[in-house]
Amino acid sequence: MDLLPLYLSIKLAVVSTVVLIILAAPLSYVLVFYRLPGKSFLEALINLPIVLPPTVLGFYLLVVMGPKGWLGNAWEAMFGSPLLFTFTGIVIASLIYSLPFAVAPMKSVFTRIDRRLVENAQVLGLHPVAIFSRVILPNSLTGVAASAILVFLHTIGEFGVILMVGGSIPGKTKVASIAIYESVEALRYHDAWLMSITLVPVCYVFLLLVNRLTPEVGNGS
Amino acid sequence: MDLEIRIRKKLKLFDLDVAFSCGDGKMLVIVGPSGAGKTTIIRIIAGLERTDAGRIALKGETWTDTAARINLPARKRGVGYVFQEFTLFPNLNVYDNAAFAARDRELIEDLLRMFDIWHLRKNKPHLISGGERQRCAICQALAREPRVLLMDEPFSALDALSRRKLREMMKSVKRELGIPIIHVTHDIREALFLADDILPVVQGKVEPKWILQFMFTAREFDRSMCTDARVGSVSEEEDDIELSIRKKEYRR
Repeated sequence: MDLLPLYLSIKLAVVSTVVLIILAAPLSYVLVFYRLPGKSFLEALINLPIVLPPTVLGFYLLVVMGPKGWLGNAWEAMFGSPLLFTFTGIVIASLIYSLPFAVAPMKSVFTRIDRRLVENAQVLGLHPVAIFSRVILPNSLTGVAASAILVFLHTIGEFGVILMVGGSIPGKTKVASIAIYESVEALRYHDAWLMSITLVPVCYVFLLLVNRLTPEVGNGS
Repeated sequence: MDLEIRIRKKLKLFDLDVAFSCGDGKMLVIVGPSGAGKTTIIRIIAGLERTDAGRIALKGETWTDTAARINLPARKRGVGYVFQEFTLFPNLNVYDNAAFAARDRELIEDLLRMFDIWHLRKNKPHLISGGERQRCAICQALAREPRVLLMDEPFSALDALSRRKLREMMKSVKRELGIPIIHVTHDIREALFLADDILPVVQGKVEPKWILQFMFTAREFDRSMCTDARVGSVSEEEDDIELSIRKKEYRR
C-alpha cells in the first residue's frame, strides 16, 4: 500500500487545523463581541461552504485560483509559481471549505462566556486584544478543541474540493480520500480497504488526544 | 469634590437623573429599591454604559462629558469594580485572580492576608465559598490600586455571616484606601453601617423621603446600630430634605 496519500492527508489536516484555529479564533471573537455593519452577510458568507456542493465550491475556487483568476494571478505575480494543483492550493481550498466548522464551535462557546467576565477585564484595564488572549481563549478551550476536531476530521474526509483544485498528483495533491476513490475505480479493493481502515485509527487517536488535552470535551460539558 | 457625577439617561421605565459627588476616603452608599437605577449609575461611572447627557470627572480629569463628546473607555478610568455576582476568572487560582491587573505584585500577599484568603491562594474559584470569592474579587479590584472603588451589591449573594464579616472588613479599610468609594445596595442596614454619605435613589431620582419612610415605617433596624451616616443628596439644591443620623443607637 502506498502510504504517501495518507501522509498528505494528515499533513493537510494538521496544517489546515492549525491555520484555521489561528484565523477562526479572532474572527469568532469579533463576530460575537462586536457590532459590525453587515455582520449577518459576513456570517452567511462564512457558512456558505456548508450548503454548497463541494464540486460547486471547488469549481469557483478553480476559477479564482486559476491563472486567469485574481487569486491565482496575484499568487503567480508574488511567488512566480501557479497555485492550482499544488499542496498550497489545496490548503487554501481546505481553509475556505472548513472555515464554518472552525467558527461555529468557537462562536458557540464565546457566546456562553459570561459577559461580566469581559466587563471585569475591561474595568481592570485590559485592551480588547488582551481580553481575547487572557480571558476569552483560556476559558474557551472546549470550543477551540471542538473546532480542531471538526476541522481535522472534515479535512481528512475532503474529496470534491481537493479533486477540483488539486487534481490527483501523487506526492503533491493525491490525498487518502482520492487514493481510495481511485483504488475502487481501478478495482483494487484490497488497497481501498487498507487505506480506509488506516484512517480510522488516525482519526480515533486525534480525537483521543484532543479529549486528553481538554477534559471538558471528553466529559461532555 | 474629588469625584463629580451628573447623569441623565432615559431608561425603559423612567428617566435616570442624578447628581452627586464623593470625596477621597469617603464611602457614598447608593441605596434604594430593586430596579431604581442604582447599578446603571455605577456602570456609567465605570464606563460600561453610556449616559445620554451629563458629566463625570475625577479631580478635574473628565471621564465623560456628553457636551464635549468625551467618553473615556472603561479600561482607561482606573476604577476598581466589584460586581454583584462572582466574576472571578474561572481558569485562574485565587492568587492569579487577585494579581490579574496588579501593578505591584508585593501588594497581593498583603491584600490576601488582610482579607483572610492567603491560605486559599492556590485554589480555583469553584473550590472556595461565595464569601471567599467575593473577598478575592475585592482584592482583585484593590490590587490594581484604583482611583475609585465601585461596588455593586457585593454582599447580596452571601450568607448573613459572610456578609457581616465583609462589611466589617470594608468599613475598616475604607479610610486607609483614601479614594472615593461608591457602594450600591438595597439593604438600608448595610448602607447605614458602611456609609459616610447615603444617596437614596428611587426610580432614577434622588429621594431622601424614601429612606425616612423606610426607616420609620418598617422599623428595619437591628437591636443596636451605630452609624455616623448623613442621609440625603450631596448636591446643594436638593439638600432641603436631609436627615442626619449621627452616632445613634436604636433599641427595640
